[in-house]
Amino acid sequence: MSTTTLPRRRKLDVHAYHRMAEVGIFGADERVELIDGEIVEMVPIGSEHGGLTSRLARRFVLAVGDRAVVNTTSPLRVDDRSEPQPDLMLLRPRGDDYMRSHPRPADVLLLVEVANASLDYDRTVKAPLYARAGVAELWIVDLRSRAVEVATAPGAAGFAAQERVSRGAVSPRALPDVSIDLATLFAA
Amino acid sequence: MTATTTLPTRRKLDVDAYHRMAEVGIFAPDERIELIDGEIYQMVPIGSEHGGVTSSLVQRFVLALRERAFVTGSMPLRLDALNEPEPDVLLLRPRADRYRDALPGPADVLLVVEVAKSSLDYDRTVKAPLYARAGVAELWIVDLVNRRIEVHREPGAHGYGRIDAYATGTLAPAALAEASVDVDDLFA
Repeated sequence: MSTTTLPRRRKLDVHAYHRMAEVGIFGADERVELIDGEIVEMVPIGSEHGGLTSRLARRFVLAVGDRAVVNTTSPLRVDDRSEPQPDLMLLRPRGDDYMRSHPRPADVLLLVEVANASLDYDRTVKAPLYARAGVAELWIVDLRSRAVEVATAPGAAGFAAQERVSRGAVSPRALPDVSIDLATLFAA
Repeated sequence: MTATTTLPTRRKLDVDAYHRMAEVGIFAPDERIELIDGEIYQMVPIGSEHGGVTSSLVQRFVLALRERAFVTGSMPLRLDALNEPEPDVLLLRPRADRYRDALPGPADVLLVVEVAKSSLDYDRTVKAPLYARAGVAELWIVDLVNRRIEVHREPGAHGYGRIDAYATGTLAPAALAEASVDVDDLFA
């Protein structure tokens, strides 16, 4: 009968998002991200997710030395409309350790998302976002099937090269000598 | 493989956060937005027919009601903590402060009018249940597509219990018999 125009959500840019945080709109312990102009609540972190992320961070810290900043806290300023908070990032060394400004996509050597229930979301929403922004390499650690999905060659249409690794070890392209053994990574 | 997926949920905003955002300048002064179910929506731009019909309704109500109701075409309605739509026309109970000290709530409302063209389905399926749940006594949806007025009465938790459509003749809000509107003349 009649065509319907649905009202559109009013998107927010990162400036508005940060202003909201400054004026106390979010609770102090709230875990939120800005994804394509919308504020989303992050899924609560389970013990497996938290533990594996810590373990991976420890291995990276021991292996990379001063060649990369291992960061599990900072959000990534992707563009004006997106500021996700990755589980872990290896960043190019910078004198201020990113105290003066949040990392940008060009600073990222490797970005890791640990996924349990969020696997589809990480694949279909987060991965294209990171690829469009030019993040060099993404690992999605799939807790359910104990595999790591390695994505490289970012572009406007997503990561052109994707590989699923479920045995052996994986290494970031930028730091090929850093080897993460999967069997011990997933061992509870 | 057939894992259940948890999608991150949008972070809802309550009316206090929404007003705080306006106070600190996150919205442009001329932005037309509404808070619906904790999410900020851009209102559909008003076409000439929509604007003309709305204005003539306001005019008729003002002339017919004088001081017996507060007639407004530009007032948000604070329905509850997560909802603050801006109806096209509001007939409100007279209040000593002339609604300067606080926004109207559902109990202040004698009639809400939404003028709908492309938003017809949205007004019926989203807005009407919202007004009904909040206890707004009467809603008119002025349907520009089919040139008729839908009168929604008997609000309840599941919507309005009674809906009548008028394509011709005169009608008046239940609370204000003197504010009668000639349907043929309105659409002429």
